[in-house]
Amino acid sequence: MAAERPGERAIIGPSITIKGDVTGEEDLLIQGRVEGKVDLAQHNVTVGANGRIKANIFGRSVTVEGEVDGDLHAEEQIAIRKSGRVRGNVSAPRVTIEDGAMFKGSIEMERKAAPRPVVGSAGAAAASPPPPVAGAPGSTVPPRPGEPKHPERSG
Amino acid sequence: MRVPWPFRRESPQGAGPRREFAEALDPQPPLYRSPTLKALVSRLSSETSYHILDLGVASGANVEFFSRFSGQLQIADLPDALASEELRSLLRTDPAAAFRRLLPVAWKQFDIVLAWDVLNYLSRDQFRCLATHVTSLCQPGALMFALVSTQKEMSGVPQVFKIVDEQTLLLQPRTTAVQLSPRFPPAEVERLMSGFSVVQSVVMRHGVREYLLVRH
Repeated sequence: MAAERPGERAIIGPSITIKGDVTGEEDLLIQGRVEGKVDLAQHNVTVGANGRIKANIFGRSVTVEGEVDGDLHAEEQIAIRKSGRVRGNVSAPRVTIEDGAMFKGSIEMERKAAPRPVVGSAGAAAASPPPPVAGAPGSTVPPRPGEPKHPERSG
Repeated sequence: MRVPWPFRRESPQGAGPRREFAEALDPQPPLYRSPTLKALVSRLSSETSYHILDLGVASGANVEFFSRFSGQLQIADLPDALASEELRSLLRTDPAAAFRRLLPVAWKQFDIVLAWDVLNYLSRDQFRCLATHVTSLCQPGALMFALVSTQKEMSGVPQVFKIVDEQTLLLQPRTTAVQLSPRFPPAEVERLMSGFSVVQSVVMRHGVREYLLVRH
């Protein structure tokens, strides 16, 4: 296998259409069309502004400037730029969506170490007891079948 | 002291929903304080995972905000669907079928629904069908945040609401065009949202009534 050269990446040009799976050991910029699976789990995948993808994409990080109809999975980060259009589900430790981007689908959220929202100490809203939120501590509402609502407390 | 209209406190009737003053950060949008968003966030726990249904346009700020909780955020982008002639036609002829097609599958039992201002862009029939469908997607106890126009005119398309912090929203208009507002009165909102009860209802200075509702 050829050694990876920093700063370089493979390119699928705008006139190229691939029907099938794409795998590899280097970063990839897609400006063409891909229908299948894109699996570069250890590398960065960029769907350029001209890219049109009907596929699930696996990468270390995934950046979308074009169109994707499929799910996105990244080890580190998914970024949907303002020109990006994504219909599918995304899963990554960090997901960013720029203003103007179109996204329709679900985002798996992993809790970040963000400051807790400050609950107002004054005012009736903070003083009144909360309604039962499904799965919340003390709630009588059971979690979804097969889905632990409090995985961090299950062990 | 007589309080001018935008800040007039409405007298609660019996045991009806609590009403509060609206405290605007600015006399005009886009940045304003949202006591209803604050009330919603105050009921959430960082120790709990939530499934959230966002009926509005995807916003990176809102994704970032809710990423402090674990769980899943489902973005439906109904404004995009409302812009499609095919779906508008289906909404006119068979709104129930349209919402079944537009919104996530029924096994998703959401804990939170962010309706933003989408309800203003629906007819009464469509409003009722959406409410019925969303009710079927939610757990009992699920919360819904909705904004209903009280002014004669409103933006020509649903706007983007970005959460700045737990009590502040940034309103991002997507057009300068305006259209007539349906001005759904509170009693009608409660009737159309038959699967939900109003927990809090606040009139904001810029002509929007915020609602926090809870699924029965």
